[in-house]
Amino acid sequence: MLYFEASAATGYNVERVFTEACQAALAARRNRGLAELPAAGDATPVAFAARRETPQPQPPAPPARFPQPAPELDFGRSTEKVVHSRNGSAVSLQQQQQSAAAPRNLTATRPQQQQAATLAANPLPVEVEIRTRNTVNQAAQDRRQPAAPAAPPPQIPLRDKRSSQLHPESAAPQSQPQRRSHLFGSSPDAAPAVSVGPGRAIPVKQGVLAKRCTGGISSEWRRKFVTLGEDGRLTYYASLHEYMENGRGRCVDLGQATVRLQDHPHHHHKRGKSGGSGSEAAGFELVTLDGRVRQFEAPNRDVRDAWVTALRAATLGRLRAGRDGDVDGNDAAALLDAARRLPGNERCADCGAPQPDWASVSLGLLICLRCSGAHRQLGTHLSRVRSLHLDSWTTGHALPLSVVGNALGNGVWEARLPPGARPSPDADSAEWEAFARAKYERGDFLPEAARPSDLADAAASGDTRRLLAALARASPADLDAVPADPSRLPPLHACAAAGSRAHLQLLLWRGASPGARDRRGRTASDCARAAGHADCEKLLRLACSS
Amino acid sequence: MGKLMSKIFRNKEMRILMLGLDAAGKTTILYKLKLHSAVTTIPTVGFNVETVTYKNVKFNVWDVGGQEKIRPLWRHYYTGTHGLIFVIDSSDRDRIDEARLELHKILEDREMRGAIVLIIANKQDLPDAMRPNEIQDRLSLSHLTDRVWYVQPACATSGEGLYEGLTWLTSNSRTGGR
Repeated sequence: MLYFEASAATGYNVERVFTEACQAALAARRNRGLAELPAAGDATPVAFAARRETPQPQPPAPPARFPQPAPELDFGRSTEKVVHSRNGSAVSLQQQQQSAAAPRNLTATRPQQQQAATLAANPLPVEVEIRTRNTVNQAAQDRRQPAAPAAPPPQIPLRDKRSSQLHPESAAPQSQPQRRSHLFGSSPDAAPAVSVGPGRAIPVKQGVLAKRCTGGISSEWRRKFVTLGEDGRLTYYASLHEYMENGRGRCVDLGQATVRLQDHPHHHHKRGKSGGSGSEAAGFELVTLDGRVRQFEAPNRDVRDAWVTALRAATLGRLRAGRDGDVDGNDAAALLDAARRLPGNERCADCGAPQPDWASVSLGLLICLRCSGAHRQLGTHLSRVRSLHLDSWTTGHALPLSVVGNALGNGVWEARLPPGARPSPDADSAEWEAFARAKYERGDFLPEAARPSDLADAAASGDTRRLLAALARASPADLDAVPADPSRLPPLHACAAAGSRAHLQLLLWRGASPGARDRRGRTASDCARAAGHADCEKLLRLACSS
Repeated sequence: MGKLMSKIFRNKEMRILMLGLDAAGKTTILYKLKLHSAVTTIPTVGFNVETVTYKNVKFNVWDVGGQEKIRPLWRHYYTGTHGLIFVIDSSDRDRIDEARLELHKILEDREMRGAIVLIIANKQDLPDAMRPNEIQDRLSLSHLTDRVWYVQPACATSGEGLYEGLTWLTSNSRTGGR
């Protein structure tokens, strides 16, 4: 899909934007040979302003995770261009030139095209559409903003060489020029660029921020038009005009930069015509590998936080770089997939945040980034943390995850969780650490039946839940306890004989001695070999050697 | 201008690169030095950088995430490094070999030829933590010839051992001057 985008967020090149929009519209009409239409009349600013009076179908905005206002969508069904002008000063318009090939490419995802048709017929059920898109986009997990309907309505005459569609921007106040223009760029049915002139990807996020460099010769604040691309690069331009002209912007690779919050705004710089928001201004700074510090300032804290969230997501995206974790062979990948589907694993085992992408491998739970911080405080004897995306995975790491899962695990760790014991979702990290210590270190919420003495029998039974409960309070002595009855095996030996590698790994991480011997002088490795479990034997041999 | 003057005439400045496996305690050390308090950190996705001034020496400390996919990016931070702080989770015996491999890989790089090496044996408060001697052996530090190194036991949450480490860095730094 090819488009060219204009956003006169600051209102200083209104005329230019209009001119270009008019030219594009005229070109479209010429191509269609619709000479009878008074194109020029339609394209005057007066007509644009008047257009606003006409009620347009305005479906509900997509559910926004960010506090800034979500753009309202306008499908421009009856008219091909809709321009939204406010008080003659702030004009925000997006012009989308679309080749005839683009809508046809939609057929690649036929159900979606049908949905788009439904949508066009009745623009209201946007939320349904959004949800479907999100499912489609599950693969691209690092997307931090909800997808939104992007399919152009089929009513647009397909015989056009170019049909221009102008989208009104949300009624965002001038000080918040953020846009969701990746609405189009990232949707699955966005067709690749075709041969109709130059185009470029619409940024994930863009807007005007004040910016300055520290330590440089010039440390003055300047207003910049800033865009964040899907490729994880932040680019800033001297002005929106510069951006539209494909001018030279300066680029920062977020894979090699870090964002720091600045809670003390600088008041002493010029705020330009938009003024008045100085007291609310909130800053952040971007430090790059070369030690350069670029300071940015947003008109208020909400806008700043939205930028910071988007920038951090972009850093994660850059570091993930393509494939998820290096997985050793298909085994680990399949196990991780299985783990993601286990009951309860769609939410963090501690705080319930959706789509956790960190794991405590030694507890077999999926957790969120913040809670993984709390788990790391516990120490590796209680919880071993790995990232699903930033770490490599072996079968050994993935196995316990694929047999435990959050529902089963919390059935043990939170068996007696009193109401109100879990901190509220917005509690600070110290509270979450305290909760993790109560839950995993002290075992405050474990079931009555969690007895380490049951460990050998639980291991022999192969029952994961029973094993977890017995393991939860086990000391190193319990783990290596040799039952008095010679017919019963110690826990590790029992797991080895049963061939349950996941359980074996859980016991080893918990501190069981891989070289311990039973009453008949056998090691667990001997038991595994006798029972023909080569993988268990190998695991134990590795554990012995380290 | 005042900044420039102090740069030239008074304060010594050191670029410090802090690396180590994930969950070793790098970020906790950084913010313990910076804020003098133990913060609950989250895994570092990318890096943190802060300036810590101690005994008239300005340390620019770069703390880079230790997750496996981030480790290949460590080399981008090598240039100009005066001192490497390599942080070890002393209680994690399972991964000490992994730490040894990573450490030696860093030190083989040409850009790191001039850097002195401070090993922080962190988490000494945890049960069964490896002592400095054991860490020295497990990391094969005795193989490091032509290299100034030191193992400092520490506990980042309480702060024990951290300033001793900084003191060692200043007194062994060859790149004095600015």
